[in-house]
Amino acid sequence: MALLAAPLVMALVLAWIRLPRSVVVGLANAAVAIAFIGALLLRHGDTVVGTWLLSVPIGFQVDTISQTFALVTTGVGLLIHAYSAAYMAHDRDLSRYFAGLNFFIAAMLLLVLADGPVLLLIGWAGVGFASYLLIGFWYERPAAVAAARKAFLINTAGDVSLMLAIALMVTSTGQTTYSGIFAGHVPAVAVAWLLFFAAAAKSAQIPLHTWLPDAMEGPTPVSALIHAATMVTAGVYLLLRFHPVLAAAPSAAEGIAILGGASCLLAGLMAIAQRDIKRVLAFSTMSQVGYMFMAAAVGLGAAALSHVVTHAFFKALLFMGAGVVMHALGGDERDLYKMGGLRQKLPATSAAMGVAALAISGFPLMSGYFSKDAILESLLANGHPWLWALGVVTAGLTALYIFRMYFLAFWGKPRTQPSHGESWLSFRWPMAVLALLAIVGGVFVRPFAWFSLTSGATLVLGLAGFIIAYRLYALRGPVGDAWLDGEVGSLLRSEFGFDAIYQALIVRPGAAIAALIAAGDPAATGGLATGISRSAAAFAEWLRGWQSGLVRTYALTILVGAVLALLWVAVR
Amino acid sequence: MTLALLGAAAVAAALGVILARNPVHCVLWLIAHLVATAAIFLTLNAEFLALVEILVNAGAVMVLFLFVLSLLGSSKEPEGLFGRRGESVGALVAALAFVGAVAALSGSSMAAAAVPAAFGSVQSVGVALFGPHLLPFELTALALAVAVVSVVTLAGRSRQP
Amino acid sequence: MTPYVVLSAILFAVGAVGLLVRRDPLVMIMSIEIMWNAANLLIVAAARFYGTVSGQALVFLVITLAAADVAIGLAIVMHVARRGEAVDVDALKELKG
Repeated sequence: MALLAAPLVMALVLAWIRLPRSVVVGLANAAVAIAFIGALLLRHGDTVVGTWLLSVPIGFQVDTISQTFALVTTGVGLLIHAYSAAYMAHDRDLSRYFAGLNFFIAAMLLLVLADGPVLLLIGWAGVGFASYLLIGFWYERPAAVAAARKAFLINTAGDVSLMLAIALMVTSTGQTTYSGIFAGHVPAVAVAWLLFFAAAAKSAQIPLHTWLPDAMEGPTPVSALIHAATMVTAGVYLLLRFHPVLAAAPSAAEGIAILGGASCLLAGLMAIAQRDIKRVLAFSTMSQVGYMFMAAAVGLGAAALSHVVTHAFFKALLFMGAGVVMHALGGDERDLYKMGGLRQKLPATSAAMGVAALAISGFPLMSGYFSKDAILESLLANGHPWLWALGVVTAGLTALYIFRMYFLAFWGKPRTQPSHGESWLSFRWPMAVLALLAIVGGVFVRPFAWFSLTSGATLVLGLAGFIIAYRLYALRGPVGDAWLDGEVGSLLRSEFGFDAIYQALIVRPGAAIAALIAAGDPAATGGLATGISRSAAAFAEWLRGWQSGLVRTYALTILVGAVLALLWVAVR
Repeated sequence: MTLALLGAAAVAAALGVILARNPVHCVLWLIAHLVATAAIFLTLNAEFLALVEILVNAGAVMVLFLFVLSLLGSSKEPEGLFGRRGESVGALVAALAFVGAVAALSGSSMAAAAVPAAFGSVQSVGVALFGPHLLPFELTALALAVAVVSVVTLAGRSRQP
Repeated sequence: MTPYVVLSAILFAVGAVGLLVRRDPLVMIMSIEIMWNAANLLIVAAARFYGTVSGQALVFLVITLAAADVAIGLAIVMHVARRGEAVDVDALKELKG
């Protein structure tokens, strides 16, 4: 269990001690590897470490949920660390990068292994902070800084919501551990909605999703780890962990599931219209997490958890492939319109991306098939037909957008000549491992029925998406986007106007208030300070008037004072 | 009765001090006041103190005053006695208030305690001084030393060329 | 005891008035001397009435200190008088403000 502390230690080391580059890479990777072994060795049960201040005991809870998350975090994290070694090899701030990445792993581990919401909150805040650090890693780019700030602010809103939820839970039950809280009685509806807001902020679900596409300004491995495999699933973890609370507030749970379904569908729609390869993947993540939210909200924890695992595999793989593509075109080119025909120069990457695309579309017998269908089948079986419909339609959309991306990037005529190839070994083996997992990862999921209404529907729609994508994009390239030039297209391209709404409702009034305060503050506090000093000086001047220098006046004053004192004594 | 006479004498002499124009006259009135006070001490079984009063106060201190007066020459009091009217009136009023206040404080009209015969003798006062009140005595001696030093410094021949 | 308190108060008041009204510093010091004496009178009376000799010891010390006080006051007056002009307390305003 203590092995899991390795990334935390390494983060601190890398943050403060200057080491040669190869050492940094080796140490960072070793730390995560150690943590992975630790996660493998975890045994179910609780561990209590000791007491902390405010008499909240530090303890860890190991069960299926937490161990699964820990394994995904450290396992996929290890692969991404290895990938980063090559991807970030030329960056001058390698230490800072790996320190941030290790810190993230540590915080995520704390989050999932905590035995109570207070400790979870610490990990929660930690991953938010790590995300901020790493999105804005290239801090000289204004876009990156703005994206980091946006992510952090939205996350903070979620943090406040989570704190309120925790406060409600702890004060109503007097307990700080999960088992204690679930044994007691909490105001379920309020807590459920507050938890949803926190989870929605962290996992980029509607309405708090606007930060995720912008977060693609960070380095690609960061996007792979934090914004695909692990941090965005922290919201799902929250819903899974607090399923007793959700179960006690079925109307709230239903509402949450509906919002998750909305995210699923709308993100799928928005993904189709993106030109930036990473933004496609960002919306894809949002959509897939929507599946997880739908399942977790209505208590289908096993299905949700399985999709968390498989999604980590193929989404990380997709991001890694995107990174290779960007790297190959020199200068971090992200515009799909400028790519094309890359499967000649980047055959392995093309194959891997193809595998991942098939997996995410739910191609039969691949991992995504099992997990996605598990969710959809359970939704239908448990009486949520509308959610089922949302999921099925989105499955078709998934195939459409992912293969649009794939064909635009790898097929057709090359619109830009790639300057690099796939020479880095460190790129290849993590991607190979993930590709393998994406194919066979289904063994981790208990298969439901092999053939059913659900699997048939998703198969049909998936094929339809694939064929449409092929017809539009495989040979014709960006011309195929002509159907987006209408009103539908502009709606999708503007991402349904969420950003604009938030700008008008929140950002601009907030900035106006801040400007107002900044203008008035010197007058107010400055005036206050000056006023105090002036009145003190005035008082001193008045006192000074009493120093006349005349001895007799002084004597008179003393006498009068003595008389008053005597009178006071006499009266008492 | 004795007290009334002696008290009146003391008050009259004090008034003479503050009302006389010539400072030398003031000194003389003060000597008279001190003698009256010493007489009152005698009626209060404080023989030693009466003696000390005459020797130290009336003798040494007043002689000192006369020396200084002679050194300074006759001072011309710039103005009449009551220089600024408001000040004088205020002073008188304050003084009256003081009298009244103190008078109000004297609540105990108890009988005089019985005292041994040698109450105010040199011996008994000496025993008190060198016994329980030794520390104040020594400190007073220290204060006198300080006074001597300061007087010499202040009034000594000026060092200016 | 009361007559002594009243007498002491009257004498003290006379001394206070003299201090406040006169402008010759020597006379002012003499007025202070009157005030000292008033206090001494009160203490001696109290010593007699309560039957403790400590009061008389205290008066002894007070007389001593009063003498020291007068000496220093006179030294100051002499120092000021060296400047040439007549000593007028109201004119000595250098400590103003």
